[in-house]
Amino acid sequence: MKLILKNIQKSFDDKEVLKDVSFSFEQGKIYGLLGRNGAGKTTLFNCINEDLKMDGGSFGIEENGVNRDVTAEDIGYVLSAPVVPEFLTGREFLKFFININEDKLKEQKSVDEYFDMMRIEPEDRDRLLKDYSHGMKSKMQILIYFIANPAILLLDEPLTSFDVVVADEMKQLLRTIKSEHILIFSTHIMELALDLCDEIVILNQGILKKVEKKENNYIIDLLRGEEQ
Amino acid sequence: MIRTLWTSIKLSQTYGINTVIYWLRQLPLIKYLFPAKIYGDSGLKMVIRIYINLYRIIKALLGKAFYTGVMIYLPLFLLNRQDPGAFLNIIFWLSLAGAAGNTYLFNPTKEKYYMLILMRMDGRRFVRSNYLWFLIQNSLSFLPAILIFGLLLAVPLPVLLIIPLFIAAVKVLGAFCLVKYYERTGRIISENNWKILLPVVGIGLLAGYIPVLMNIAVPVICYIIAMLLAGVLAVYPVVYLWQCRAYGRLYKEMLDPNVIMFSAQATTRITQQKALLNNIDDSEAYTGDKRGYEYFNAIFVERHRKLLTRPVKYQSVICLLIIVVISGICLWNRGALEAIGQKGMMMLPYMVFVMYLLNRSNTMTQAMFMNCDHSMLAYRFYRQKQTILGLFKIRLRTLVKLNLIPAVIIGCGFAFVVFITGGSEHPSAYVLIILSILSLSVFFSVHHLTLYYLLQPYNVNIEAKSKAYSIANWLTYFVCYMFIQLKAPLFLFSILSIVFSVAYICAALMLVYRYAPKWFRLK
Repeated sequence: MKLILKNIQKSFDDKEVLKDVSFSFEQGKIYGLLGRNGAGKTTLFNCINEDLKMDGGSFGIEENGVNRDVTAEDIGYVLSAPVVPEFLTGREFLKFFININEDKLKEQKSVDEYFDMMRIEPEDRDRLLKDYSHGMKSKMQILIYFIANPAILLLDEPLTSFDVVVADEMKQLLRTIKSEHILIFSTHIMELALDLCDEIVILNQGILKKVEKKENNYIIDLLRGEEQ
Repeated sequence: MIRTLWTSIKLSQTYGINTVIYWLRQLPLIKYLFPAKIYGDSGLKMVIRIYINLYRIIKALLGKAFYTGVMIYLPLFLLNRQDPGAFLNIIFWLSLAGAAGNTYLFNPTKEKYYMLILMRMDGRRFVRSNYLWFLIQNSLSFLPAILIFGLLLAVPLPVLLIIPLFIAAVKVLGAFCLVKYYERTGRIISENNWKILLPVVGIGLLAGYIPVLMNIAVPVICYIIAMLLAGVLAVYPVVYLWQCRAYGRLYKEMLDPNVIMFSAQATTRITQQKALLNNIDDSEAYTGDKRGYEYFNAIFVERHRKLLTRPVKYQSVICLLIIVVISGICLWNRGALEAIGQKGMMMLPYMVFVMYLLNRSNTMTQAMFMNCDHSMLAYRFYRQKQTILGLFKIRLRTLVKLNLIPAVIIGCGFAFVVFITGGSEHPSAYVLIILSILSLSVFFSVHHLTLYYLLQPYNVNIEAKSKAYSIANWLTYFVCYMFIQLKAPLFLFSILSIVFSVAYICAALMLVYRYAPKWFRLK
């Protein structure tokens, strides 16, 4: 399976954020999406998730040689600032989410098993989400996408709110699920990208391109636009 | 000093210019004439700068003229007290009140925040130049109004010329007291603090108007001496304020965005969100057996019972009590019975405003957004057509049911009161009363939820972006309020209200079905 982006364009007023983004993301790989501040990484994610209307271009899924449109079930988008329904408890949110997706879930576990998977403590499971910490909200957000199991996961700086132990657990988790998914991981932390990701793509001046996984300075030079 | 003043004036103007451009870029159609690069267009900015300066000068002059005219000249004119003593008494006391109510130094403004906190300008230099400029501007803009109205009331010209200086002197004295208080106690009294302002303004108004009303005449010379004395007393405070070194610290505390409401809109929003979050009540666990979105909505209603079910219960009990009391009065007092009987048949339009006020839908849609949709709309599954329409249906059902409880009581109660007061010979009148009140209740539930789904006004940062939503809400209030004035025959009004409600509900539901899946997004 591939996620194919074709000539995606997006401008805000006169500023062309995405000039001509074309790329093919393949299943089984974690892609590290790097770019400078304001390069358009979140805009690209928002376009793929249809939060923003593109000015031009298209994207779709190629599966067994057949092209099709991306549906809501295909994509999970983990935001850098996690958002969860504040009036529900962690357990109620999971129960609701499993309810509405039960016909699509391949292997359904119990709510507590899911909590165990994310190492959310039993005493926190019946607390309102409004009282969860930033890191715990992020865990909940990631968890529901693990449950929904969409083919494509867009992760916008997802590990920054975690402590080092949880961040390491998340990395392991992402590695275990990557064979069945396309994972696109936006980050500013070069070491994380080089360590976790199979491919590095940079978004620079509105263009997306794959670069070799080399040392830090090489990628920094590319981001500066000082390509050799 | 002049450079500091010039920098702050330029910053204030730039802020004004950018605000004008920002608003132009928000207007429908006109916004296309103003692309973002217009912020860099120095020619256009110069034109706007001229208009802004003109506007500010005219506003200052007219503002002071309006103030002097309405607060001083008009009361004296109406009381036929056109003598210099009365004029001086009012302006004297109002200026003293103004010394606390308009200090400039203790007014936390955005401009000060930008200059002193963001641009890190030296507090002392800022105060020296800007405060002096404020006093000059304030006195100069007062002068024409004082001259015009003062001469009309035959106040001698030399006395009138002292007044602007007196106003500046009492402002300095007021600021001096507040700075001294801050230095001694570390406490800042903002000029927007109504707890302090109200009594001061109250005393100023009483002292200004009561002697005039009671015809107590104080010789003009007394005011002249008092004003000159204020000028003398202000000499030391001027030196003190000029040399004071506390401003940097003072403004750092006063302009802390978390402490002070320098952006009322943002603070209101945050307060509102916090208030709505605090209204989530999880003291009882949900024990029902609903599933999916029904489960989601049931918990939402359960957790927001402080905002939804509880007020509805109170409303119902109060409505019932009112009806019992009115019925009791009618049964015991023949005079009241006839009076209510005559008016009751024409009072149905009044119920439009009552039903508008009682309807909980507007509060519920706010809670829906702040505590639920604000986060859930970030999930793509939540924005699917079936989900949006399905949840709309569930929510509408909840709202209609909730709002119908007091509506049934009011409808039956109203019909009962009409019945015992003689009412109508046609039994159908009672049915129509009940039906029209019920249909109004359903109408308001549908109306508020439809507005919310079609014009969802907020962005992800909970900033209201849709002017259309505010206008629609305001119009709803206005139209409902106007119904109070309407006296219409019962039959005609009830039939019309039922027909209108049904037609509106059908149209609204069609619009929601068609457009909500596209428009119910974070702006």
